Amino acid sequence: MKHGVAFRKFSRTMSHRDLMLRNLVTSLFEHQRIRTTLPKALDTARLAEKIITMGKKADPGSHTRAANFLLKPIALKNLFETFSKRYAERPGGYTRVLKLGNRQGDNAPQAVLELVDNPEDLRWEMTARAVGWEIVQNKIAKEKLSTVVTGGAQEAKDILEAEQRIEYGEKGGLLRPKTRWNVQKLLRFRGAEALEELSGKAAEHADKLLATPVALKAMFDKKKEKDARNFAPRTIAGQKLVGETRSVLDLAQGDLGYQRKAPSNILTMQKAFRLKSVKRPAV
Amino acid sequence: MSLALQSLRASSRSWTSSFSTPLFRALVPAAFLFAPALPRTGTWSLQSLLELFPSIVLAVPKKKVSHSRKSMRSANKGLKDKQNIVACPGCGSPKLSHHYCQTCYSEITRNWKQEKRTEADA
Repeated sequence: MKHGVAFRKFSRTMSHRDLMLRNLVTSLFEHQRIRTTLPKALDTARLAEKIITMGKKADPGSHTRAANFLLKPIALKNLFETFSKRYAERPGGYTRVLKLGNRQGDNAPQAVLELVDNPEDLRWEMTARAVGWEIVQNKIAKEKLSTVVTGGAQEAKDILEAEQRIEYGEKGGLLRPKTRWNVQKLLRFRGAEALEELSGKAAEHADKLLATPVALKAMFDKKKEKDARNFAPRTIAGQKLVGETRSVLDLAQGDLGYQRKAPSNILTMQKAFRLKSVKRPAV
Repeated sequence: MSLALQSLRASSRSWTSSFSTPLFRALVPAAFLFAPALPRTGTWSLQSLLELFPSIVLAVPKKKVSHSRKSMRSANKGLKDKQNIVACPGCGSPKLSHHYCQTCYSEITRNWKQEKRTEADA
């Protein structure tokens, strides 16, 4: 039972624990993204947000307290110059903890702790990729595979503009509700150019998804010329290719899982090359 | 006086009769009740201690556990399949639900490092 237990002890004495957390917060302010264990990340996030709130207040008292807490001058500088401006409009929630699976050596649950809206924001990247993926999937469901591969995803910006206006729970739109929610959250406190940047990243990712099978096929052909015994690269178990509609768990289980027929419009390496509209790239 | 004697006799009778009940016999090993006299002089030896604790008390396996029984006991000790596997929203590869995709994380962070390296070189 864990009734009423307020905080984690980390098997350390109070002084050791406090200094460890101070070091983690200082590192976070220095690098804006750190990778550590999940319990440490959750405790550090709590402390870091309190220090950022201190940084938002411009009074000398908060300055002294923040300076006494942080262990490096660069962290203090970042706090009062960068983060106070970045989070001026945002009411709390300045950090984000993203889970990363378990560590190899000791099976510890890992996490990435990052400052929201920093130049290397992981959720920003992932949402852009998700938008790109969903645009491509949607296109393949409607159009012919050959037109999709040549066309790409130019309308990403219009799609995102429309998605921004859809309320939570409303029907319509192209994106999954979760992706739409993430897009709306990410664009709330960023500037005007955020939408353009996000749509650019999404379009780039969509093009990459369509071009990768073609590029891989060209590379494999070159390898086969050298030695006919070379096998084609296999996809990892459960990999959902562009155009796939079956679930990853069913794909991963293979013969032991629920088996459905592959959809006709799936972009495998072999198919990408047999499309008449795709010209053989010079590798 | 007579009443007290009567009650004493009754209580003693009940005490002695309790010996014969099967429940009592089962709970308390007989040897405990009729143990040999303890040595009064000198130190306790292992022999005398062992006399107090008969073999029924020293727990020990009677036979080697057979291969079949051992396997039956370990039947449900195997690794369980993970059910929380979903598709990454960005690349379609399998990932744990509520976790960040490992392939995407690796790719994204390596790209950033590469950009920083080229910026540093330039």
